[in-house]
Amino acid sequence: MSMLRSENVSMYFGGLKAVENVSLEVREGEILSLIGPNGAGKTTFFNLASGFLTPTKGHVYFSDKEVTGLPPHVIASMGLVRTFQKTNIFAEVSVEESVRIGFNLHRRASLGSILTGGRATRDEDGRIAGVLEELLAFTGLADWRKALVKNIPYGKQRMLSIAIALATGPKLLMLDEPATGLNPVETKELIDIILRIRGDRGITILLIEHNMRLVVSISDRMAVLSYGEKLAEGKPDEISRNPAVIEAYLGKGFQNVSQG
Amino acid sequence: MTVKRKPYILLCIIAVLAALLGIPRLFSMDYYLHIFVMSEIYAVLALSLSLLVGFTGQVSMGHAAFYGMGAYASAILSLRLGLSFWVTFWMAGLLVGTVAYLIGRLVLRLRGHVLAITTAFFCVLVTVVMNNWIPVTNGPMGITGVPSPSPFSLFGVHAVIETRAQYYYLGLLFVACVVYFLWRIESSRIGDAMIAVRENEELAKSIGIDTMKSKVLAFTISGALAGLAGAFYAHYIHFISPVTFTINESINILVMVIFGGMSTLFGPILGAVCLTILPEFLRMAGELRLVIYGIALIVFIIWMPMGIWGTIQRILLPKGPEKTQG
Repeated sequence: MSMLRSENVSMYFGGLKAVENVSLEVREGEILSLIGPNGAGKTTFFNLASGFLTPTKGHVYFSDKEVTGLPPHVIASMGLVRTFQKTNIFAEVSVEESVRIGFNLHRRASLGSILTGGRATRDEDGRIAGVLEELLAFTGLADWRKALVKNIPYGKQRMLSIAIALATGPKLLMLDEPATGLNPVETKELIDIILRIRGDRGITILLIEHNMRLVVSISDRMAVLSYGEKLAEGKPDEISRNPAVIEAYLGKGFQNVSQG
Repeated sequence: MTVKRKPYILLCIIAVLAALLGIPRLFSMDYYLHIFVMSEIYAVLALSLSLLVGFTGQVSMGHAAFYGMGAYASAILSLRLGLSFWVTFWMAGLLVGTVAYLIGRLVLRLRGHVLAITTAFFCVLVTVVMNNWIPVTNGPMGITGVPSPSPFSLFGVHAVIETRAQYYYLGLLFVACVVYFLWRIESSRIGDAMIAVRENEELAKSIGIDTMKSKVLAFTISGALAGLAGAFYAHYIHFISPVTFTINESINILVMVIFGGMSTLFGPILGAVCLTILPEFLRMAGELRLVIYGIALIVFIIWMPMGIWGTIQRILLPKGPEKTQG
């Protein structure tokens, strides 16, 4: 079953064709990586799928429902949640509070119950506290819970972005270059977490990443974008042998080198 | 740590409560009591604005407009329709809340400075209407003879609100209710969403928070509470005119919020009380009064960028969330 499907999606910024006729399918339960040289349109594709941009042409379907042009918060509430390439955090609040904000989507206590501190609110708070605890442990942030987000190390901030996204209970998690700026140890931890997000939680993952070792080691399938168009799609070993992909990354004349 | 501190905090709360209740006995002069009642009104105004500015991160310079609309709405309703304050008070809140909702839907697409300037213009616009819509507002002459709250009996207790001390107690109840209301809102999912909007709108949207809805809600609640404060003011002073509700007043309220400390409940109250009492205290300085007031503000804001309450918190809780663990 398809989790996310784009049909001939295009995005033009004036004369610039950032994404051109991209049709891509993310299948339920898989880890699909989107790779390509800088400026290939990967992040633009993320923005199109998550509602931060409305495509110039084409359609996007999530769980077989059309989401083209819906606002980001509506798409997120349907279960498609993305992280950002740049570090996007709630800087002035604690780690714990940040993740609690992530649960907002699932909190339904009525205004009356909130004002009276009624049972519904207390039950909800209790339930959230439990899941929050589990999520902090899962992402290795439990020791940092009281610290202000702006004061924790960069690698932990990147992990926190993932924790916040997980708190929303997504069906599809789209990670935009999660390993950027991480040291080798943190990268290993990240790989482990991504595999467990899919394995333990059954969340489908769409990943943009430049770290080829990471991509090849965890992806079920890969798709390559170059100059806004989809060059190739397939299993990691197929992609790494594909001449068009090698050309896009290294230029003409390098085929022999990589095959040798 | 917290367990040890609890009885100490409880003691503080009891002391503050006793002091608050005892004020009319200690300061029986009308002049002092008037300042305290005005402090209460400003406390509500600063608290309501802090929900918008401190919690949701949207700067508004139009708060006096809602304050004024509440005052006019309640005064006109009670004089023209002969309704009691106990009815017009709530009607004013409802009416101003509705206006705030509609204005919020329009202006909250804007951000930062542009939003501040637009709301400032809104405030000017409302003052212009108050000055010129003479058949309703009586123009620059204002509205006189706004009645005191009618006497009432509740659970066998017969109460009249006439003297300043009685207004003081009513105001205290008003502030307490507003504090409770905002405390519940701010510590709920609604407050979480507002903090998310303040900290990072893009990230908030990406995790399913309808940021526009949060902003409009903060603007509406903030406006409605200012409207209630306006109604209280009108029936306390018995006279209202457009000069009270100008942009200067908006800035005054904003300064109270910043001065006291923005994203807490005590900060705005402290700011409101200090900045209501300070100018009165400086009356003895004569002509230099406003100069000293201005310098005092600048000094405080440079030395205490987190506001008075923020600074007190930092001193009292050195192991607060400021420091990292691990």
